[in-house]
Amino acid sequence: MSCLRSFQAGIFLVLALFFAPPPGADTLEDRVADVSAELMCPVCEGQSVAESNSQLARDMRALVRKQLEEGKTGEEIIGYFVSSYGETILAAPRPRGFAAVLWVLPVLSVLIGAAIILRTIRSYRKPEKE
Amino acid sequence: MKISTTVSTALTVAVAALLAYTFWSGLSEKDAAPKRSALVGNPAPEFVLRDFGGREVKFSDFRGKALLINFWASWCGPCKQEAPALEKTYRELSGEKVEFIGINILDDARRAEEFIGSFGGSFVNLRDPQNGVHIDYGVQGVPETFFVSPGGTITAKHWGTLTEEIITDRVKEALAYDARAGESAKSR
Repeated sequence: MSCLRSFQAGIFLVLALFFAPPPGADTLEDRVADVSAELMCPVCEGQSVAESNSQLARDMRALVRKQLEEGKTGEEIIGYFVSSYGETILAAPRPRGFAAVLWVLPVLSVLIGAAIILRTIRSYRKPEKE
Repeated sequence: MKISTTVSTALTVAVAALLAYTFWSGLSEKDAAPKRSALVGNPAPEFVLRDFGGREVKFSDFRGKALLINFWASWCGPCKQEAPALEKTYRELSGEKVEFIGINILDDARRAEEFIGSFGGSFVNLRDPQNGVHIDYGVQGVPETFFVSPGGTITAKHWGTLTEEIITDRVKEALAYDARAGESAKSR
C-alpha cells in the first residue's frame, strides 16, 4: 500500500514539474521569445520567428515586443498574427477539425500501449498462479 | 483470445484508415486549395504612412474608392516586370472610383525613388520604414497586391507579378463587391 502511495506521489511530482512554468520566464525578453516560438517565420523553411534571423522575423519579433509592452497578452498577439497570415503562421496547429487528431493520437497511443503492456504482464503472471 | 484478435484487427484497420486519409487529404490540399489570404473578406487594416516627399497619407483618405495596394521593393525583379502594367492600368482606371497605392518595403529610399521615376510614378507611393504595415497585411514577399472595395473590404490578394488583365479584372471585382455583398446579405 505504501509502495502504491509512493508511486502516486512520484507521478504527481513528475506531472507538477512537467506543467510548472520555467523559472524566470516572466522577463520581457523571455515573453518575446515564448510568443515568437509559437509563430512560424513566413519566409523561412521550418524556422520559428524566435529562431529565424530574416528581416521579416526580426520585424515580427519587434512587433511582438511592442505589443507586449502595450499590455497585450500572448493570446491576443498570436490572434493578431493569425488574422494577418492565417493559421499557417502557427507553429502548432490548433486542436480543431482534423488537426485534433494530432493532439489526440499521441495520448491514445500511450493509453493503448499501456493497455498492451498491462495485458502482457498479466498473461505472464497467470501461469505462475496455476 | 478471440476478443484480442478482433480488437487488434480493428485497431490495425483504424490506424491504416487514418494514415490513408492523412496521406490523401495532404495530396488533395496541395492540388485543390487555392492560395488565399486570411484577410480576404475582412476590413483592410488602417495605416498612416508618409510618401517620398514626407506628406502624411492615411488609408481613410481613400474611403469610397476601390483600391489597389501594391507592396514592392526596388531590388525585386517581378516588381520591375509589373511596374509598366501598373502604370498603364492606373492611367486607364483611376478617377473618382479607383485609386492605386504603392507601399515600398525593406528598401533604400534613394533607390526606391529612382525606381518610381523610371516607371512614371503617377500614383501615390508610400514608405513603411517601421515595417509594421506589411505585417498588418500579412505580406510575405514582394510583390504582393491587395484589392479593396470602396467599402473598405479586402476582395482579393495577388502573389507575384501582375498583368494588365489581372489588374483590370480584380479592380472590377472590387468595384462590384459591396453591391454583391449587400445583395447576398439581403437574400439571407
